Amino acid sequence: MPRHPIEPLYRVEYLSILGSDGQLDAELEPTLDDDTLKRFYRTMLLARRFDEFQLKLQRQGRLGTFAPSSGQEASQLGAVAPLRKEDWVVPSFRELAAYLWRGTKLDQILLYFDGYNEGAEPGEDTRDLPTAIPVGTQIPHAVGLSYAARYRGRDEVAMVFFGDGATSEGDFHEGLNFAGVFNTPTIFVCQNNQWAISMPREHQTHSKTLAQKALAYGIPGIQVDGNDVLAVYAAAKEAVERARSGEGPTLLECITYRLAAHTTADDPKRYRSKEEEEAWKQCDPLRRFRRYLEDKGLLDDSTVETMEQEIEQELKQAWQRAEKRMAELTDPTVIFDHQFAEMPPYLQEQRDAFVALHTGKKESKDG
Amino acid sequence: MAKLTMAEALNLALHQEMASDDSVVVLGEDVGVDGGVFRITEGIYQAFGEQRAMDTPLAESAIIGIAIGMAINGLRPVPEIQFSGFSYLALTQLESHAARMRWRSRGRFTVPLVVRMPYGGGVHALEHHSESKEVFFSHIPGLKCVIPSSPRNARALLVSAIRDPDPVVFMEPKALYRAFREEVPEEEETLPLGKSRRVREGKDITLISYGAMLHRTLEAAEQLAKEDGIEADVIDLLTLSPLDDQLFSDSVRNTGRAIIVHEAQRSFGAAGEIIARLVEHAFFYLEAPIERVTGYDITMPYFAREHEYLPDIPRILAAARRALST
Amino acid sequence: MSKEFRLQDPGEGIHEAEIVDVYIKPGDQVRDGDILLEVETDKAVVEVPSPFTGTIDEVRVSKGEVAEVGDVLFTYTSEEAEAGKPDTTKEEEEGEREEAKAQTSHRTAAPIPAAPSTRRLARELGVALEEVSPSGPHGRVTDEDVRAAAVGKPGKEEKKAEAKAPAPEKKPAAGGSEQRGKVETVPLRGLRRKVAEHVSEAWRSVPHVNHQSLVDITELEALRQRHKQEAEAAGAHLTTTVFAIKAVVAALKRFPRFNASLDESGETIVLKHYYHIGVAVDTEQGLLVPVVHNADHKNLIELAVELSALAERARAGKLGLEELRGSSFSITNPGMLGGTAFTPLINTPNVAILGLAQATLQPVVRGTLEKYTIEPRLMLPLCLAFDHRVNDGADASRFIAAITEALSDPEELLLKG
Repeated sequence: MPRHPIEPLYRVEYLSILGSDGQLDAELEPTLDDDTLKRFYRTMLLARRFDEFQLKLQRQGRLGTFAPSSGQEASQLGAVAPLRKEDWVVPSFRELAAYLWRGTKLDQILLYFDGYNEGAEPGEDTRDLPTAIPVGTQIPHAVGLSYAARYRGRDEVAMVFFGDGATSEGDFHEGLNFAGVFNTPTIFVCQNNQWAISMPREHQTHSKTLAQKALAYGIPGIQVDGNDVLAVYAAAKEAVERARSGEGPTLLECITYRLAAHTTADDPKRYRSKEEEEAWKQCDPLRRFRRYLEDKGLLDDSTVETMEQEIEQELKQAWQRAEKRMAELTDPTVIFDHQFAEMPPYLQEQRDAFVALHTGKKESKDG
Repeated sequence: MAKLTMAEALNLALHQEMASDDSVVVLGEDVGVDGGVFRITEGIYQAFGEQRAMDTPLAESAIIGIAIGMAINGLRPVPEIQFSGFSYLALTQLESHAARMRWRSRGRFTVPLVVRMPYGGGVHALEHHSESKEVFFSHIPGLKCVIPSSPRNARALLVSAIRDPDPVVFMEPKALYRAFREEVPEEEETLPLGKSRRVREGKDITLISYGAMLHRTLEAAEQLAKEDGIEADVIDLLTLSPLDDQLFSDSVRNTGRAIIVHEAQRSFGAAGEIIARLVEHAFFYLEAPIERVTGYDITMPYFAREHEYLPDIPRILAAARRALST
Repeated sequence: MSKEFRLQDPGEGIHEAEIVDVYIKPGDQVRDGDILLEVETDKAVVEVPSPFTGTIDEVRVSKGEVAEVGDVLFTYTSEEAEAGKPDTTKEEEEGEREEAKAQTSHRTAAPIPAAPSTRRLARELGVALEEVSPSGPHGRVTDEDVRAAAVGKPGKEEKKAEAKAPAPEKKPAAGGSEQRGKVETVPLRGLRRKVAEHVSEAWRSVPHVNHQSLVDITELEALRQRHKQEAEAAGAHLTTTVFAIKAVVAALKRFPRFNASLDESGETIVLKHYYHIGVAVDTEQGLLVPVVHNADHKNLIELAVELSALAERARAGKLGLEELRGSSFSITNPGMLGGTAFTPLINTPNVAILGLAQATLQPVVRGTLEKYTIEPRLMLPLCLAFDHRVNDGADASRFIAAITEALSDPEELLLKG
């Protein structure tokens, strides 16, 4: 009985549609109407400018710590673009472009990063979960959300975002394993931005790709050029369609790059070279996509300039709205809200004492 | 009314709730075909199918993580952690997500799940199978922690927990699973979460306990009555969090003396919190120092010596008599 | 107007930053978002963009300096005069809320050991634990101690009585409380309870010694009979007790340590320079001890009048608080009810009490064994109880001898008393 290879024989594909200068592989070009393509660009540009705007506010002391997303716009937008409104998005904490595409208001985001609970309040009928800061822990939630949908006979799917660092977490393994076992309509989107704070991707795992980790769970895995919005869109669309038609989960590895710091409290100069950053700037997803749209005749300098001006106004107004709301959010008792559906008596007592403290009244205590 | 064990009563609750509400599903290791290692989910798989009785891979974090997703999307999952000693792998899911999803989404997303787990000593189990870590869960705002003490209240509390809009950790004293039988009505019965009950009335001293230790406490109370003419007021907490501090505070305002009995380790245990509440609500009624009769601050011993660790009647009696002679 | 730009808190617990580079100088025009400085914290080197459009007035830091969060980095004049924009450079607000001051004054001594429930009782009865002599184990003040102390402060309890929660019932003693026949329980209430508490306290805390003696009051009785009418005309009863007051005051003047009290610490004897004599009165509700104030300033008739009035008001329950307070010595005279001798209980904080038992005619032998006479004499048993901490047996003998002398020789009493 000789030693011989067994199933599965596995191949990991890599998908790229736009070249590093935006030249198109026409054979792979997804079908998207002009309007949608322009909206893609505008959303990516808005995400980029908003990121820069937030950084400025943070440095001026007007905003708290946040995780910049510059450079990852294509891999976020391209992933969520094929989703329907009723599909679920389970983010980690750097998915600005995805949020903006899904309709989150700019002033909500500002409020959240300025430390107000109200900023994390999801919109009326959104199906985007709040950010998940403990790395990788949100992955099983998407499996549960999509299991429940399928149990109810609805064709909604759930898409979860995480980074290259999260693939080392146990919840990554557990989540993908469950998804494989229960064949849930889940799309796992790994934003491989090369760095987990200071830990480079190749130190995170000895695995050649992250996409190939899907092999172990018996689900498809694909590596995509994450700075190519068309490639991400095409791969995500395929995964979403598979999921929706009952064919199960997919792992998407988007190769991208975090151009800015991990968070505003981080200094990448300590662990990576200027040259590396410069090299990745050459693959800037906005630049490549703009070139493609210009080639298609959908964009030129003046339309972009108009867009930039609109966005500048939009950001200014968002900050004004956020400031106005913060000025109005003077009631700190909201921190007691929503801890339980019904407030237990001892918590009510603590809240009463808190209110008394704030209104200068003396707390009356049971002797 | 049938006389059921706690295991059968819990099974009855699951069967009835799943029959009446199709959003209730159970999941966990060996809960389906096998009916659970303690047979609490016996017959669920056969009655409701694999979609609602999910045999999961061995992964506590994912069991809870997935249940969280299911709960957010409208189901009422009842995941089982096979032994509470393995629940710590899921602590992040409970603390970082289940307990705070309502708060951080300002009521928009809620997580109505019930994590069932057998806990506690007294069944001669292997290492990691006899711990009482209820405070791990009780310390977390947004999480409820319920501990029944009899077949009938176990059934009623589990029904309430399943219907509760917030995440509940339902800790089942495994020593009581088959310890005795009790009349459990076939018709629906619930008990409110967050409410303790008086199981014995007395005016001389208050004994507070929960779970398996309640029964030793009750026996000690009877002995005090017989041998000392002392009538103890005995409180069964039933819910550890949110803690009902009104009933036991009222009781101690009458008796002036209190003993708390639990099998969990002493330091930073439930008794510490109960004493703090008594200091807040009944301090000027106290006539003696409050004593804790608990497990020692050591690793839960292997079963040959677990009886040395667990509170027993002589220890409870000694503490009560010390308090009464002060 | 020139505004100050301070080093903002960059978050994550950073307190200071090194100024890596300064790109501005006074007079520079800058626009919102222009990079003004580069600063380095423990965590990162970051550029500081301008939050305004305007002119730099003064630069207060230079390259290489370390600035702390809140330090002024430069001043500027802004072109913007927007309303609603929060002034990020405003001064830190002073703490607005002043800490509420604790209501109680600072204690100088160590805490008095007592159960929390006893503390509550003490508070309700207006008793300061420091003033209670403890009888519990390890010097602990008990509920009974507090109640006893409260009796010495009539009024407080009455005042609080309605608001007060019922006192916790006594616990049955360990070992059982089985009953062997029909019983009836009568709650200890009102005056009865106060008496109970007071005498318990006296019994527990005072080492009593009893000294008994007989005094021949044949002549005193004759005197009493002679002047009875006069007293009655004044509306009073000239009782033996009235004479006893007179005799006691005379003796107290000679032996001041019986007209005293022991302070709480048990370390100081307080000698009273006044003679307020408490006289026990039996009433339907229980024992009361009204006080004849300044007995040394009053003659027999005056004493008789006052004592009769006090007794009457005591039985009618109409005594004022002042009439029950401040005795320096007490007398109890249950003699008219019979009894050859008894051991009275000291009316704390007095240190002695004189009891009068029943005077009886007794054969008294006088003379020597060789030559004697036997005469019927009216003999009154005197029962002195005293606090052994303050006086010894010899003191008591001398004290009672003085009283005996005064009562047996009324002329002497009238002249000197």
